[in-house]
Amino acid sequence: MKYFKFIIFIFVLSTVISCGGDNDICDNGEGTPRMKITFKRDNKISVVDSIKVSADLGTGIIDLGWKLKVDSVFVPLRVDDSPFTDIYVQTTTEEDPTKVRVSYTTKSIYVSPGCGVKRNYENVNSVLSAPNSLKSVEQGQNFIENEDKTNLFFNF
Amino acid sequence: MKTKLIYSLIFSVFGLLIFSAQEKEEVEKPKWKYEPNFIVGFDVLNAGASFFSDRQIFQGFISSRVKDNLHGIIEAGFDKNVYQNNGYDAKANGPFLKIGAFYMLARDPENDFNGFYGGGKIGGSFYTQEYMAIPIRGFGGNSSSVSMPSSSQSSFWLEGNIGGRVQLFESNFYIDVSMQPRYLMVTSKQDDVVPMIVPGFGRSSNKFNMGFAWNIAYKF
Repeated sequence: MKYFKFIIFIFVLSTVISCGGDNDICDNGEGTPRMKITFKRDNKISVVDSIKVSADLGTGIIDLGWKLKVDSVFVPLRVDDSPFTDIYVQTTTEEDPTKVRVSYTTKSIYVSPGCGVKRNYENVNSVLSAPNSLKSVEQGQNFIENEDKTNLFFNF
Repeated sequence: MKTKLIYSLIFSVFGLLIFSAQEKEEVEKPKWKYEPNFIVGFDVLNAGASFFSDRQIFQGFISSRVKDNLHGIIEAGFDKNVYQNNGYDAKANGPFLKIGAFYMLARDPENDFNGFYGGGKIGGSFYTQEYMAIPIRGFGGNSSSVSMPSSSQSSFWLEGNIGGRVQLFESNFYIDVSMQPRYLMVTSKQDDVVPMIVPGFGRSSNKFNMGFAWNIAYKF
């Protein structure tokens, strides 16, 4: 049958083309950047034995878990319209967590169909509510566009 | 989408069966003479599917045999679509127009309008879109969204046209089934945001797309 090749051709073509789905996968690294916090002791970057950081992302407090022997952590900030994010820090289980309020202005930047929009943060400013083993905070780079530079130093 | 594919498949096979039953021996093809001819069709597959989905698309075509196996075609329609997926909430609606030509690859010796064809079209759409939500992706599924006000945009695409046309018994009515692989060439963007839906084109987050049409046509 002379039309047979056309039928096969059409079926093969439709199979190939209709398999292409939506391009809605967001690769890591293109989303909203996290804030980098580096630890200092006696004004020198140093590791802490243990630290637990949690962040209140508006929908609930996200526990980032205990980190052992690290000199820095990455903390996500809120992506909604809130002008600040509260993060909670403790270094031992006996210690009560202390609160650091990170305030900023946000800027929305379109990334791609899959990733949608990401937030960049500007005029980042952090305030420690009550010192515990964390004695003070010190501002690093005051805008967050990527995760390269330290935005905040914790002085222990 | 799947239902559409299955429908297209069933109707295509059905059409083919009718068509192949009519197949006769090859006869010497007479010299072509010009005579004005028009086939006007309306897409019943997508119009019917409009009742069951968020997408409302009404489209039709006018085609005319220009020379031998070469036919010209103009398609026009109106599409109203929504996109609610993956954090997006968008709607777009507007008219579209496609102009192109196709070539009868294999035709019925008894009827020049019966056969399988392949061709191409250029399509354009001028539409209104509104994005109620564009996702902002945060950590651990934490997300938010921004919106964009309603605006007018335009898009243009290339479209392949592969299908078949079969006369319904001895009447002037034809069934025209076609597949349109599409490639989005240019589109205007609101605040650099790639449109997720384009009327007449469909989902546009991917530049490639596939369309199906099942037309009832009348030959004048």
